[in-house]
Amino acid sequence: MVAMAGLIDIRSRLAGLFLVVQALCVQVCISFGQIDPLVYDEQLLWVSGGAGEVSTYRIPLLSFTPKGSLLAFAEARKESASDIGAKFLAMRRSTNRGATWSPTSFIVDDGSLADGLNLGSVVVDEETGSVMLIYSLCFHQYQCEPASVMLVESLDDGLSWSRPRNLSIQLGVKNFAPGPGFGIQVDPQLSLVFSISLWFSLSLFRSLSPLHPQQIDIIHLNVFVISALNKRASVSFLVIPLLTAYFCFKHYPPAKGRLVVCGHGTLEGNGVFCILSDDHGRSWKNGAALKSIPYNQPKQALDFNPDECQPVELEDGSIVINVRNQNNYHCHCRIVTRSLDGAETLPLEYLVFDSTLVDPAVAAGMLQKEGVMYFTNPANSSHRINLTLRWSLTNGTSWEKNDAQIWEGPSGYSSMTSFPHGGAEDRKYIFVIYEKGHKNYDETISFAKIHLYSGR
Amino acid sequence: MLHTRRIIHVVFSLFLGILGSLGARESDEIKFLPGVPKQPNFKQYSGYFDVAENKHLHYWFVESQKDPSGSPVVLWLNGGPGCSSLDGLLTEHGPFLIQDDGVSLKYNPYSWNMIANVLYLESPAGVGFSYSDDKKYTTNDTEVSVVINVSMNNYLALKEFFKAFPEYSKNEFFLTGESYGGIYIPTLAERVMEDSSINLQGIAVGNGMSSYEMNDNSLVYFAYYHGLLGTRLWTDLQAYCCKDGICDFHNNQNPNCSISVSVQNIVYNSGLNMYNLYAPCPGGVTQRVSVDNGELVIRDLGNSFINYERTRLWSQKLKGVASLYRRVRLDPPCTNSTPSNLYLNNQYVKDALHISPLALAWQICSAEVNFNYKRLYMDVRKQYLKLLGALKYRVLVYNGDVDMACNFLGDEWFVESLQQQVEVKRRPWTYYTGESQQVGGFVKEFSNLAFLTIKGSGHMVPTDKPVAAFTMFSRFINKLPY
Repeated sequence: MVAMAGLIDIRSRLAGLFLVVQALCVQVCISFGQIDPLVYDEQLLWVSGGAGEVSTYRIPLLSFTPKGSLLAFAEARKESASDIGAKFLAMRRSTNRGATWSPTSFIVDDGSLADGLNLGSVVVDEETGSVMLIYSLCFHQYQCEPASVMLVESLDDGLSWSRPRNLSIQLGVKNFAPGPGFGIQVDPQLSLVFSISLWFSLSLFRSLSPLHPQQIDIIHLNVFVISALNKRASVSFLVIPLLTAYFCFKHYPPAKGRLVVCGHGTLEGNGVFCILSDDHGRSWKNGAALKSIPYNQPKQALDFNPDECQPVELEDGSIVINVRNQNNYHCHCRIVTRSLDGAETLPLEYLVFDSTLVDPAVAAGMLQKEGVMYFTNPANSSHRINLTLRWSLTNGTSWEKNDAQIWEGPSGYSSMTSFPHGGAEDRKYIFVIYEKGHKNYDETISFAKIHLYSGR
Repeated sequence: MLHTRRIIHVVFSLFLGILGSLGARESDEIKFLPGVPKQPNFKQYSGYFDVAENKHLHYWFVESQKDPSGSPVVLWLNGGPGCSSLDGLLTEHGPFLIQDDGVSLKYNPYSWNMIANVLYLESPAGVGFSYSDDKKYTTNDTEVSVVINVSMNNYLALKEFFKAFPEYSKNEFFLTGESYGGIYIPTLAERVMEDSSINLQGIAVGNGMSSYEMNDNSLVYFAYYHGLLGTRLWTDLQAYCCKDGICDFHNNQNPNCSISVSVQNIVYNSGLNMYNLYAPCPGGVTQRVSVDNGELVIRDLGNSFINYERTRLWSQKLKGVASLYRRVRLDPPCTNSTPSNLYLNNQYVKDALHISPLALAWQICSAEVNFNYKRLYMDVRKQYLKLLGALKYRVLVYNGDVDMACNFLGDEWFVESLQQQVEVKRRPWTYYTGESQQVGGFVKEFSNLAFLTIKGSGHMVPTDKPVAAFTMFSRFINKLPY
């Protein structure tokens, strides 16, 4: 009992320390100065009716690649602007941080299907260098069944793509529309300092602990550290590197390297659903689900109906998912939910409505970069206009007041990316891709390079 | 009084004018066409457009089977030079296709007039049923160029068409053609684009002659990599016709490079079907020239390797020999034109089509026109660039990829040489066969320009691959993705 109290005491002290270190970390991140985004460069990647006589380009996705390229994707809707119908999966590639782009490639052609492909989620496996694009087929079950979840993969930085693979064989038949946006890989990157200290600490721990080596994981290690501190063991040589590890590494540790792709279901059977792969995309299983209410029943206005979503991983290893609030339940704003177990569950107690993120029910963009959370959507409670970039220094619990307007006119779906491990130049920029128009938001797909520090 | 009379005069002549055009049109309507199992449910017309120099070009116009007033108008020209566009109608993409008996026609479910009003024009005068009052189909070299005359007369014929069918003048309009149509279509488009009264939307050229040089040069590669040339010949060709990796098989001054004649002999003279490498040659292995019932039959349209002295001598010799015969027939090699011949020269058919008694007997190609055709344009690069420069016309260059008359590679090189902005990278395109989705070929899209292949098809794409061809045509005119 006393030991427990001591433990809690230590934990709260550690928590205090954590906040200090995190504050320091944020300080490091904004060493360029205050965030003051500037649209540094913008170009149209697709124009509806343009390349390939495609009726409408919609649902843009954007991703970095491990080799430093940018890949942009969109649905190329062949004959109409409708969500159903036959489509190509269009891609363009930039090897110079978005300055110039390759011509369009149609990497998938669904032929003349009545209910063809729908994007989609792009996920990068940084351990293997693979880029995977997951999309649905026959999602609306219009003149077809069943719906399928498909995957294409590039192992050469987006130059060539595999034949589509049907994941429904592993996942079971379910209407699942990934994204739209990107999937995440639970951070596989361990800092050198951390790796060394972890190895050092684990070795020591193994020699001292009664647990079987395979039971030793980071949580046990933490407990061990805390109890060691509690016993006032003079192990400071151990404690210091471990503290470093503790604050730099996830509190919620499972699933290092796991691929997490989240999306939604049909309007009736809607909700946020995540699919997971722990073997670099070879096999997939169903993960977290946040179901709509009433589930599998027709909805009414104002029902709880979580829809298209974008996950990000926070520095602590938890996964935050920003969700379209289809039926304006509770507010005309975004639903935010959180997983502490690598997207296996999305407990209701972590669900919040973010009243700052006013939203017309649309797919929005979110990105976590160096401790700062970025969010893009058409910031309007009823119309898809006014594409706005917001940022939060508190993991989305509050948003900075001085948001940045990217486009005042019609604007729809958006997605973001950045280069996560680059040098100074890569720390300055994030990249936004969004639906942009003058009369209608589906006129073009635009790529914007955002300088985070006002171009200086 | 005078005033009133003038008004009456004007009204009367207007009335007469309307009556006149309606009349011409009425009398051109095909009321009963022999050979079809059931008279068609769309309207069709056949008659003549009077153009310059007392020339009368025969046309056959088939209205769209679906919403004629809302469908585009498409002109179709076969090539040659000197070959009849009725071959396109009766054996490629017309509403009914000629059967082997030379008597019956069978409805074609992949007819281009399912979705378009198609105008088949026999051009220039002397081709098919088109004729000239003076019956002279020879144009000497010192006259204004024949090509200009051809494109001018084609243009005048179009004007006549829109005069006779004014209700189509607002419809979207496309120029399409095949083979030597590769020269006709862009040169005609050059004129049509300057006429704002014609709603030109684009052009499509199938297995077209776009550049003699590229056609010749590419053919050698095509032949070698399709297994037609031996390694020895290939090595010699490389040694004598190429320098620093650049080969000139078209106009090479090195006398040793004359071995490239062997390529011609293999491709055109060995009995292969030059229009479809993998199809048999109807009539079997035949000579380029033969005598059939006292008639000299020439199977050479004279489009390849024209710069070689030997080719020139051969062509002169042909003309000399031809002058000794009373009857000369020009047949495209490995083409059985007998059914079309029988059908079109049947008096009932000729009456149904309102063929003038002044017209010659129908032949698939006119030796006289072909022999006397002066080839002015060695390529049509300038015309394409002009069309593309207008930024409003869609251009489709399509090629059956086993044709050797105008092989795909030469046209692919030609399209690349226009150096247009790539919009969509080369990719397979697919079509639904009725049973499954299949790859139709490959397509590369530039700004307002597409190069498209039809896999496994020869020169006459709609004949060889009707479903793929119809899908392509439909996507082209409807501005849909391939």
